[in-house]
Amino acid sequence: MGMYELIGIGLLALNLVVLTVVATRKSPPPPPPPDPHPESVPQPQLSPEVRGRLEQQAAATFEAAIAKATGQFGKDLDATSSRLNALIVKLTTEIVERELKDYKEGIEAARQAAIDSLGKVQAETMERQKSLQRDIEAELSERRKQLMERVDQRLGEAAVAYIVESLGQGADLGAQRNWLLDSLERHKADLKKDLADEA
Amino acid sequence: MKPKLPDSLYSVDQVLAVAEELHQYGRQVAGRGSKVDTKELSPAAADLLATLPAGQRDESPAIEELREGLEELAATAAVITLVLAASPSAQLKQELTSWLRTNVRPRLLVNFHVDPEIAGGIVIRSTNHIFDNSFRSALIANQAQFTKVLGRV
Repeated sequence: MGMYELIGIGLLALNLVVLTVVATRKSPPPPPPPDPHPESVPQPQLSPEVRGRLEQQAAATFEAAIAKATGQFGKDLDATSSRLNALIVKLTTEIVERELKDYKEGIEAARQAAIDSLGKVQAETMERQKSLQRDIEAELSERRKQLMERVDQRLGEAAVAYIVESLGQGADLGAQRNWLLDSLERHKADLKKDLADEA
Repeated sequence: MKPKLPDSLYSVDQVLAVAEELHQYGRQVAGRGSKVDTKELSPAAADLLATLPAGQRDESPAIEELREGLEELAATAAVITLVLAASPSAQLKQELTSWLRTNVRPRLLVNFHVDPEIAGGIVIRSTNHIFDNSFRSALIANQAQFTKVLGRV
């Protein structure tokens, strides 16, 4: 059973007590029931004055007792109410503080999780960006190299074609004599080996 | 008989032509029974005939044996082909042939081809290899150097 239920039951019981006391104070005590056998028990005979005076005294005594009890009960009720109010305020404050603390912790955890997630996303984005940059630079470098090779090749071919066309049949083999003999000398061992293998 | 090859006799076709020439010359010698003027022979045939001992140069069997030796040589000799950018002079052919017979193998034959596309230098083809020392291949091999040179101009 929760705290609120206990408080509710306490308040309900308090109300019942208060209502009972108030009802008791407003209605006089009921008259004694008529004797079913009046003839079997002898009843003292009081004069109406005495009887009236006794009744007044009893009523006064009763009312005084009730007033005293009611006053004491009121004080107790006030004290109880004060304590209950303080307890309710305390409990409410604690509950609110606890809920607020939980809420703050939840918010903090969510904020931290968001920060972590954002940091992770940023790190992944940076890594991806670097990777893409590396790929692009490598691709550009490769393309540049290929283009340069093509340019070199074209220029080389153009130069060779120009030289071949310019020399044509007029190549002076006499001037190349040393070149020719050097070429043969350079491959002398290879030629000997090749012809030896053939034999 | 293995004739000593003069440097003026270098290619397979030339050897076969000289063999045929000697064959005809031998028949003339046999028919006349006397000396035949060698001035009608080609320089290569005359040089080859001069390798015979003096007493055998007018004898048909010796000439025929020389011819047979030439035909066998044409069929079996190692052949190296030299490709040049232009037609070489006879002197250059003999010089290159002499070098090859001195430094590689004495009894080899040399075929000369002309290919202007190589621009200059020489391409050597032996039995199993090609050694390209032409200007064209040298230029192509140094294309990067060519662009560097262009950059300096």
